[in-house]
Amino acid sequence: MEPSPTQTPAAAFSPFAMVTDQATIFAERGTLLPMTGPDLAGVRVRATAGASREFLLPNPSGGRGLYVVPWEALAGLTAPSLYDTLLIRALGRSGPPTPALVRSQALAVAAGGAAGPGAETAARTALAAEVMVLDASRAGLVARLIIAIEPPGTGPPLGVDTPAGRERRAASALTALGAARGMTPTTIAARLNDLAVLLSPLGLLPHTEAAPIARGRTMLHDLAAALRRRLATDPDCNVAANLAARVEEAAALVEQQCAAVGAAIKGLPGLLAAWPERAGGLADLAARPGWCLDGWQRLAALHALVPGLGNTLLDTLSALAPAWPVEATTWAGRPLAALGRGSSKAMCSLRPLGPEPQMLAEASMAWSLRVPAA
Amino acid sequence: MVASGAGGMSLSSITPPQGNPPSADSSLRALQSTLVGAPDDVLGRVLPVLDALQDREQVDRILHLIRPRLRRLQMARPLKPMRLLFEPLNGAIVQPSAWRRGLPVLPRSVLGPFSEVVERAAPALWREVAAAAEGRRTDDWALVGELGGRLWPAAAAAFDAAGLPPGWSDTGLKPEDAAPLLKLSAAVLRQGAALWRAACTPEPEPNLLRVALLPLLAEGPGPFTAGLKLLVERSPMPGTVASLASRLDPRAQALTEQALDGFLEGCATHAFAIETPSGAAAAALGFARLLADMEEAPAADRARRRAHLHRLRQRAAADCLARFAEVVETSFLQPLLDGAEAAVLEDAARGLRRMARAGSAIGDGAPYTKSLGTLMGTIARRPARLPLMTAARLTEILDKPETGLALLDAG
Repeated sequence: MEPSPTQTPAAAFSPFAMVTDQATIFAERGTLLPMTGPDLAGVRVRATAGASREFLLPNPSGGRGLYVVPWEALAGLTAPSLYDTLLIRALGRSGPPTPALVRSQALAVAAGGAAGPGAETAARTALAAEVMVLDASRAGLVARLIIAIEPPGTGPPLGVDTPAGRERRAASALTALGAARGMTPTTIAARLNDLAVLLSPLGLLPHTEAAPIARGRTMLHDLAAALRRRLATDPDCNVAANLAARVEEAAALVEQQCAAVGAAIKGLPGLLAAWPERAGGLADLAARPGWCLDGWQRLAALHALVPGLGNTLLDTLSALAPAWPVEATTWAGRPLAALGRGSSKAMCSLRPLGPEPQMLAEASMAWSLRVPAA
Repeated sequence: MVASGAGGMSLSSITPPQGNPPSADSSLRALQSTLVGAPDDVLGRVLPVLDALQDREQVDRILHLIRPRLRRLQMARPLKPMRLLFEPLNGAIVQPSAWRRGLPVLPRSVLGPFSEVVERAAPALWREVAAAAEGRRTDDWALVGELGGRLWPAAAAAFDAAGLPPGWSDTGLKPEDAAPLLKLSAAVLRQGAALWRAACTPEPEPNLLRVALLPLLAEGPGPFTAGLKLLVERSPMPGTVASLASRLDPRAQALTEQALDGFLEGCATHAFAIETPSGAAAAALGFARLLADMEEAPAADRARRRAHLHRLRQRAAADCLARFAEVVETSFLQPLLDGAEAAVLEDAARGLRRMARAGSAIGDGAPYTKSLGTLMGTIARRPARLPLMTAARLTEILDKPETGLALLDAG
């Protein structure tokens, strides 16, 4: 579908409630949707009290605030693509929307071909990479468990041991831990698997660099570095300076949350033994990097798509930078400079980019799939 | 191999076949004819190869038939001093066979001798310009303006002082033809910088047009017409340019109308037939805008102009529809029945949608709507085991997302 040349007038949304850009918690801010329809850039989704979904649309007039619109109305007033509609349907059948859920559903819909053959291939590649990352995460956790359980000098370093040797030592470790905690090795293995599923998107374990959060972190650092390079040649560029500070703040917050997860899994045998009780807390902790990255990868993807870092792109990226909810300061344990400064002007600010709906759609797909847009 | 786009053409396909070598003339004719029929993307890739050849005379002969198209496409060429020198005169340059004594046009055969005049008169400047232009292209409009701003006044002065240019006998013109052609060139180049500024705006700027054209009018009808032709040919809104120009001065009215009539005579729509679907759609959309703009252009005999535009519109509409029907058959239906990949079919569908939109802007949209409806019916039957999602996507592209979704839901 080709993007429509005009956008829906802001007045069309006036019957709907408007909320401020400042949310209290991440779930209230909603999750950014990788929509491809030209009028749907920047739309977020969140759960309602009645377990339904509502959509937050940046004010099309370019002013502050977001309209809260049900999907049926939003679809009627905008031009969702086939892919957009199928994604919303898929999310409607799932639990409360989170960045991880939106990503997995977007991947599934794209892998089905709804966003075209290019996106289908990228989504299938991303899904295959996820399987490999999950395998690597399992292997990494097993290795940690072996090291934690085995008396020193039991066998050769794991890296040089044979596959059969590693398998035997893993079984021994599971048995030993189970015996010590009054559980079967199968129970311990199932818990370890659950933990691997929880951790694998983060890419904290060896050989998991292709994990979505790890890729998002890299993209954010690349964007920060590009902004610093721009500043080195143009020190008076306030837009670049402010944006660099915000991107670095976001990158630091993501790193901090990842480090917190890393610290939480340090005592692996104890964690596995107390798994059902600690699973919920760890799941919440493991979801934080995704929430912190939400919205930022779109900037990084757009930067990767548009050559150079000229003034127009800088203005666009600044307008797209997401606002922190108050909860982010709690997670950070310190005040955040960019609290409440958000992307209300995102849609109109994209105008100078030229064929921006296509560009944004590409960027949306790219950050959704966490694959290089090229 | 140089290229092969949607047209499936490459440089190897326009080089002579192996075996008995054909004569130079027949090779040239074959090459010319192939380039005339080459899609834009192929032309865009072949052109740099030709530009890199040393034998300019041969290249000029090869490009002879496609020069009007190159001008319309404004394809970037290597920026060389000689090309830079004649940028403001581009609207007035014609093939030697089209040159007539007394008309405000320059035969292409004088460009070499005229360049020689400038190079000899200002050798240091010529070398500086050549060095600054090295590796740059004609689409670097700012550089053309900057270097031209230095070269064009110097060239005008050189032409004013010139006698018979060196190598004149090779032009096939009489010695007495040189002076009026030098005078015409000098007059236009004196206003070269102002003309260039006026020619480089995306929409006609009244003040820039005035600054460029009034001094040319003072030089005489020839320079005015030559300068105006450049502006009309380069602008996507030639009618607006002409409207503004004709209001500059009472003397400008008749000259502008003549220039516009000449421009309309040269409007060709055959490009729709030879370009890729996207190229044809872009050409047709541009032509639709041009026609709309021309409706407002000044005309002493409005009925005659309207009839002229009507004929052009009808011809363009017919050409566009014929090309659309061809693309439906060859680029979409046949690959669909052959089980082509989704990416191929989607590209073709996008091209068709754009062509339908462009064709509807020129003529009647009903045949396009009907044809696309028939196509969607074929897609819905899913020939050659067309996957349901691909069918839905194609329907989305050809019509709208809701139609694609309905097909998907119907399963």
